[in-house]
Amino acid sequence: MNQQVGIKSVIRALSPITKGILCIGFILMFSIFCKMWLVAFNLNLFIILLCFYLKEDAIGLIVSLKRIWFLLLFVGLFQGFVGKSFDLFASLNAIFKIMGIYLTATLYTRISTQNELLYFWEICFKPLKLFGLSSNELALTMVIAIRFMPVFIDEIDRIRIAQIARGAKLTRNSIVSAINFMPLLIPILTQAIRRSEELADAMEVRGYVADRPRGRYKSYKLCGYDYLAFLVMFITLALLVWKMMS
Amino acid sequence: MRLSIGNLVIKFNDNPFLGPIEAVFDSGCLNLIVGRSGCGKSTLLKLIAGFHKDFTGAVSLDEDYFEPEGNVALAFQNPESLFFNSSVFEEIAYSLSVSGDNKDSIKNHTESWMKKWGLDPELYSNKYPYKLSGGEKRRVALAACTILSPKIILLDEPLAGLDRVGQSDLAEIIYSLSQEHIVIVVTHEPELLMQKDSRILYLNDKDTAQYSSSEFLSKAVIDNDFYPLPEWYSSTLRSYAQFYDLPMVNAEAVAEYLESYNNESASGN
Repeated sequence: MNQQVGIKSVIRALSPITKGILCIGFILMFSIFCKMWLVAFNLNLFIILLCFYLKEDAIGLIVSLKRIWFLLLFVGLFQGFVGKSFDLFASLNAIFKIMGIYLTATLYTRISTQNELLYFWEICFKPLKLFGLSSNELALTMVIAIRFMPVFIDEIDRIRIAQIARGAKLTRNSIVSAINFMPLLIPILTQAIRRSEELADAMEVRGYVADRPRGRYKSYKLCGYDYLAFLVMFITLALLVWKMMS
Repeated sequence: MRLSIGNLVIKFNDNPFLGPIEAVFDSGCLNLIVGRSGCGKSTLLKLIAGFHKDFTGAVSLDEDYFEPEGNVALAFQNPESLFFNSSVFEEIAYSLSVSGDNKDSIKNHTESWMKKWGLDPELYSNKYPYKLSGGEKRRVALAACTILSPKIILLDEPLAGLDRVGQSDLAEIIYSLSQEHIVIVVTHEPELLMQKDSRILYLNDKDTAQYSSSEFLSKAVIDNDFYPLPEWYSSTLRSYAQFYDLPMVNAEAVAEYLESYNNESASGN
């Protein structure tokens, strides 16, 4: 969920609007149009190969799947046992769909800066202004929520280091260590809120007011690669729809 | 107890960053690590604590394999990075509670430990650690780190940001800890902690080496570029620098030293 810095690739140079639409488009493809496991598998393969081709961290992306292995296993088994006997293809289809959604979302957040995410979601939320809601505040809340997970993971890591630094011998048993960790969840949340308050103060003292109109340092324009990306997405979508209809 | 590091090269991404370092750290005396900012002092502490794994060379405790986990306490430069509980009492008692002690013994032990570090249990027990002053936070962090009495205590700039009284109080506690544990302190102000029997590991690009306190003081007085000591100390003792028994960096010790030296000279004449 964290932005990866220090990599230059075509996909990163795309406009935030293109990145956002591609992300939503692929998530829709996985959720609605993938009716066969082979199609879902091929789409996953396409994303991974694209990452290799564009010199993105494809290995890191694949390794990140270990975070959701339990979810994949659970969904696979659940979907497989829906019928009278175990349906392997239905199980694989469910697994590859979840995997695809996860890879798309992870790739999207990895290749987008905070400002790019904010820019796209602000545009998405603009119609809500009709109901008196601030699109900027909603977008900011959403981006902070996305970026909050790595902070949360960092906080857990900090506490683990703080525990070892106190000379405490931590158990190797993951279940016992998870139980020992439960009482610390409330302080972790409290500290995360405290840090967010500090961040809010820091932003305000630098003159940030969410609902004030302001300009942008960087203007985002669509270029040739954006149109190419849309073309790839629409061809893929058309193929999927055709496959579903036939 | 003796912690030895031999032929140690600290690396980052497999690239050598510092070393080779040869040093020994004993209990019964205070071990200091000094050097310029960014020279690798804190990284060396993290390496001993087992957090930095990219290195070659050996770290051994009493000539045996050294396992950091459970044997080392490390108080970070920023005391807040050690806090994760909602009260000072819980913060200090945490290590005892995970080690499975019963409630009464945890309470008694924690309260006596708080008193040792100058934290009145009645005043501080229920306070939120983040709301304390800088000096109090540091005391809480140090108390929390040392309550299990690990064999090795690593302190990263424990006196930073304290007033003179706070510094001398803490220095006293740290010195008393060093009598029973191997205490290694990273500091930019060695003169505040240095004792006659202290060992100083000086990390620098040219020649990283370990000195006795008198060797270190003598070298620093002769050559201000070697290590900058307070100007009053260097200028007063420059003519005595050839002797290896220079006094510690405090006015009283220097006055006593000069007096005894002058008396000896007078009786010699």
